[in-house]
Amino acid sequence: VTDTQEPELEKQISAELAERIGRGDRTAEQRVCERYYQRLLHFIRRRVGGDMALAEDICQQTFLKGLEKLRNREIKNPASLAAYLHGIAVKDVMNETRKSGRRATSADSELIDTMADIRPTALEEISEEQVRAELHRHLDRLSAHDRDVLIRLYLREESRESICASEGYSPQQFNNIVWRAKERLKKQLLEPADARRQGESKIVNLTR
Amino acid sequence: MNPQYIRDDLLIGNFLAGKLGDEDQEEFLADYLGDPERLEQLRGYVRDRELAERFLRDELSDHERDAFEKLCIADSVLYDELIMTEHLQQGLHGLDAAGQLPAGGASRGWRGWLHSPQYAMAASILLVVSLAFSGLLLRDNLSLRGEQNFASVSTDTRLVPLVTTRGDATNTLPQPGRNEWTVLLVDPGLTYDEYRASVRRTGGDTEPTVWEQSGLELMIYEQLALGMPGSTLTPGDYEIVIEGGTEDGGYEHITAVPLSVVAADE
Repeated sequence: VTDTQEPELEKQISAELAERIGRGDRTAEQRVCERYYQRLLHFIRRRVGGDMALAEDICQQTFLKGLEKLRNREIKNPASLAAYLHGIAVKDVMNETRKSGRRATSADSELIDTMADIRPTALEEISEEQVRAELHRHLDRLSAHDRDVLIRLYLREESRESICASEGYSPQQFNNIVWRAKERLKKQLLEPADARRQGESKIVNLTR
Repeated sequence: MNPQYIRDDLLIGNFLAGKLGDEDQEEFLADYLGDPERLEQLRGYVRDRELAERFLRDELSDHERDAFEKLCIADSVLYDELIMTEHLQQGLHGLDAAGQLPAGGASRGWRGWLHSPQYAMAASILLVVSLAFSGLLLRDNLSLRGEQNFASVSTDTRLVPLVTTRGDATNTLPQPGRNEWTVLLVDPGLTYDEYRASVRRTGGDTEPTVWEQSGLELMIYEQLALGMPGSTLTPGDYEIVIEGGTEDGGYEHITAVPLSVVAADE
């Protein structure tokens, strides 16, 4: 699912989807699933200690309950669907941790199929191996001081204050170093593998 | 700081600390997610306080974690930043465990370097080089115009370290004198064999590129030194575009650094 909406329109999108669901529009229900399911699942999974199957059960239940409320127009602030769904999910996770058995998923097979079909975003789908390989390439090209900042921040878990103090960076300079490193790595990670292979073969041809 | 900004920061702080009730939280999110300027402020707040990093280290309070998760579910930009942070953190740990982290320590931060004796030395070297170079340019220029008395023309050199920024922050430079030689120091952040740099005017209707140089290499402490006559930089807004040379002979964009030149008496 490609999220092409501008993020600043979230309030309007949320309110509009809620309104459409209240009118019985099933497409809007699917759109709500597509928009929030993967993100909510990410946090539920973390809260249940990484158990993906359990996280999926809870996430599906959350959406079924939330959509039911939307159909009945029982949500006070339809412009904030994300927060509302998160609230249901947090309660469900707490309930689940008190139970020993897995709950049975209630029936709305069409919606459950929709949720099951939702793929992670391109960024989430990248495997750890891919990340390591790209990061290795990325670190090689980074200047020594940018590399040092990343290692101290993310590997040694030093605070921003201590890195800034020892390196003489202002908070803004520090933020910019981290930001540009992330942006470049993100670009590298999202660059389609086949495009990269084409580029590499071009280089090989040129050197022949 | 703008009083509205302070009020907003307090409100964001209250949201994250769980001091708003459920309904107020939803109201807060709806307001911020419906206003691009406030949304950017909210994102800035999250970044400045390293909420993604602290979330991944399980350092957030329960309230902060709830609020942060809500934000990320509602805002795909913050969510993607969280995923990238997670990738970076896990990737670095993976490389470290496999013994594949690039070796070699980094230099001191360039800010520190600019206050260091090495900087003074580098500045001296640059001063000599640039004076010689600018002298040559002046000599060529004057001889082309048939003026022979070039020995009496003096030049000063000014080194201007620039910071790569995002958002509205920019580098401000008082307008250099006509006979001044200005050397802009830019940290490209990425290593290439050669670079191309161009200084472009922004937001005006004059010729956008006022200076360009290819074949540049990093000098010590991984800075690019872009030397140009002071007369190039008249008051106005510019961006310094840095590109890295690729294997196929082209260039790829690395960064654009904003620069604002203001009249000397401003």
